[in-house]
Parts: sequence; structure tokens; C-alpha cells
Amino acid sequence: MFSKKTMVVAGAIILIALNVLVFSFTYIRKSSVGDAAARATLYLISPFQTAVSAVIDFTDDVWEHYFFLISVARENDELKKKLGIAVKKNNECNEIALSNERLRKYVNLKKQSPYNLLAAKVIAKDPAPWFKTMIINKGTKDGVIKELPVMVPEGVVGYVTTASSGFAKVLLIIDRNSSVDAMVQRNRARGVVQGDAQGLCRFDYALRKLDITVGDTIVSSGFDGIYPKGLRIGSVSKVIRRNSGLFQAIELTPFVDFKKLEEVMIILNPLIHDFVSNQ
Amino acid sequence: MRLFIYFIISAMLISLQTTVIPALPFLLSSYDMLIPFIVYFTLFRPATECLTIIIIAGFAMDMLSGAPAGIYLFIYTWIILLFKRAKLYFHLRDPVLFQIVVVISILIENMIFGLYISFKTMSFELSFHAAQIVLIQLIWVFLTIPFIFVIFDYIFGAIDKLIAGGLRKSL
Repeated sequence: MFSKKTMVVAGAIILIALNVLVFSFTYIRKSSVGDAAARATLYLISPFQTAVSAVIDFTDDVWEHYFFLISVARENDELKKKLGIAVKKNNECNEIALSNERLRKYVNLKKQSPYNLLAAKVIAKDPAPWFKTMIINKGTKDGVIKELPVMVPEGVVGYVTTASSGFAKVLLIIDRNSSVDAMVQRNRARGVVQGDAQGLCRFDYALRKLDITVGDTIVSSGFDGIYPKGLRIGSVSKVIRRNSGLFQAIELTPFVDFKKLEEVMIILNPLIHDFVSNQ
Repeated sequence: MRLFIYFIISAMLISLQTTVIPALPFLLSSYDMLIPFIVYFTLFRPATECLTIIIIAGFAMDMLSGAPAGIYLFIYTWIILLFKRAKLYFHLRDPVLFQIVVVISILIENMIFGLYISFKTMSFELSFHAAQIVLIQLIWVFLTIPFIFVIFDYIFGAIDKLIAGGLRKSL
């Protein structure tokens, strides 16, 4: 019907007309009529836009917080698992670090000590709260025999009362049945350290005239035939000097925290003063 | 078989008492876990089983504890002697009787320990610390004994069934 040339010309005219129309519309918008038209358009269209937008937001919200959360929940579970593993590993590392610190102390003690020391692990404690003993994992096959002293870097722990092939029972110095011949480090005042009811010790038989004050360190004297001389026992925490009586009442706080004992050292060659040969 | 199971149960209770409980804070320090075991045997099991169990448990506790040798055996023997016939004289429900006897037994045990310590240290005063220990033990008894009774009842019922079933099969 129309030639190709006519079609091109008509197309060009329509394009130009459209351009003019657009330019004209831009000009109209700047006028008050155009402004009113724009406001009317906004007024009519915006509620629909708001509604559509709300629907989109709602859908987005549902997607984000429900459907999408399924994968988030899965991810959360995974992360929780990973966190659990990490916490466990962290705990293990802390335990290793603490154990390392403790063992380093024992190694230093072993290097510096004149005694032949054997390390042992505490595996059990006394079943009754009235008595203070513990079981260690070294016995006669490791060279442990009855009446060998047991210590830690902080001080004296007790001595072996029974030894089987693989285990030994240690009587702690805080047990009522325990007695350690001891002296005040500062002035060499003698006395006997005995266990007390509440996990503490008493320094008995110290003469009233002796000058013993709070904070004094008590060490073993070596005269009891079990503990070598000079092992730290505890510090004086209370001194009561009554008006009458031969002795003063002294309370002692042991250097060793018996509740936290995990490893101990057994002195295999206590170098006890040989009273018989000296006489 | 039965003896072996009793030995395993005793060993487990002793291990629990010597390894787990001492590691807990003071308020969680419990009573002698073997007392309910001995009392259960005393009240509800035949005398031969009772004797076997006090020998096993008493000897093990004496060897592991810092208490004077033989004191646990002595305490457990007295529990059996005192309460073996309790069921005949006191017509109470089993759990109630069990709880009462456990409480009395624990008091007896602590009293014997207290007497020993008093004679040893030559001081007869009741310290606050000692009273605290006994009180905590009694609180734990009241809290745990009903559960322990149910557990023992179940375990020993299962053992009896197991052994009876084994015997039936062998016949």
C-alpha cells in the first residue's frame, strides 16, 4: 500500500512529533497546570504504589524471616556445632596450658632439688570427710615404699602410709593423725605440726617464751625420721599466748592447696638424719 | 555371677565416692554412698548376700580410707546386726523404712568416727565444722534416698530376673 520510502518518512515525522510532544510536556510541568497535573497523578497513583510496595515488603519480609530463615536456622545449627567444637578445643588448650605450667614447676623442682623425686598423679581422695588421705598412681614397682615423704613445689603434702604394686596411700599433713616435727624458719623455734579439723594445721608444743609471729614460715626440722629438713610446710596465721600454760597455741595455713592437688612428687631418697650411726 | 555384679556395683560406688565427690565443692560433699547399698541389702536381701557385701565393701573402704583399719567393717556389721530384722518390727512402706534406716546408719557412722577422733585427739567438744558435715550429709540423704531406692529396686530386680532367666535356660 505504502512504499518503503513513504514508511521511513512517516516514521521520521512521528518521531519528531513525539519529541515535540515530550519537550512541550516538560515545559507544561513547569507551569502551574503541569504542576497540578503532576500532583493529581501522584495523588492517584501513589496509594497503588504504596500498596504494591507494601505487598513487596511483606513478601520480602516473609521470605527473609521465614523461608530464608530455614537456611539460616540450618546455618545457625552448623555454627553452634562449630562453636561447641571450638569451645571444647579451647578448653582442652587451656587445660594443656595449665597442666604445662604445673608440670614445668615440677620439672624445675626436680632439677633444683637434691632429692630423687618421682612424679605421681592423684587418682582418688579419702571417702570420709573426717580423714585426709589420697591415693596416687605410683607404687612399689616404681620404688615407692612406706613412709616416703610426698611434696609439691609449694611445700609438704604428707607421707606414704601404704604402698601396693601400682598405687600408694598418702596421709596428708592436714589429717588429725599426722604429725611433722617442724621449726620456725626465722628463729628455729621447735614444735610439732599437726592436722586440724578444717583442713588447716596447728603448730603445737612451741614454748610460750618463744617469739613466733603471724606470717612466720614453718619448715620441717628433719627430726621425725620421715621428712627431710627444710621443707616448707606453712605460714603462721594466728598466735594465741595464754597467761598460763607452757605452750602457745599457733594456727598454721599450709602452703599447699590440698583441694587442688593433681600431681605430687615423692621423695625417694629423703636423706634422713641417721640418728643411730651418729650416736 | 551375683557376687561379681555386687562387686562391680560396690567398686563403682567407692570410685564415685573417692574420685567424683571429693572434687565437688564442700556443699556438695555427700554421705558414705555405700551406706544405702548396705542398708538395702540388710533390709531386702538374704543374710548370706549381706555378709558377702559387707566383707567386700567394708574391706575396700578400710583399705582406701585414712580411717583406722577395720572401722568401716565394724560400722557395716553393726548396721546389719541392728536392722536385719527391722522389717519384722516396723510395718512401714519399704521406701520409708529404707530412708529412716539410712538416716540412722549415717548418724551411727558419724558418731563412731566422732568418737574415734575424740579419743584420738582427747577433745570431746562438738565442733561447728563436724556439725556442718553431718547436717550437709543428712540434707543430701533426704534429697537423694528416694531416687536411690528406686534405682536399687530396679537394678536388683533386673539382676534377679537375669539370673533366674539364665537358670531357666540352663535347665
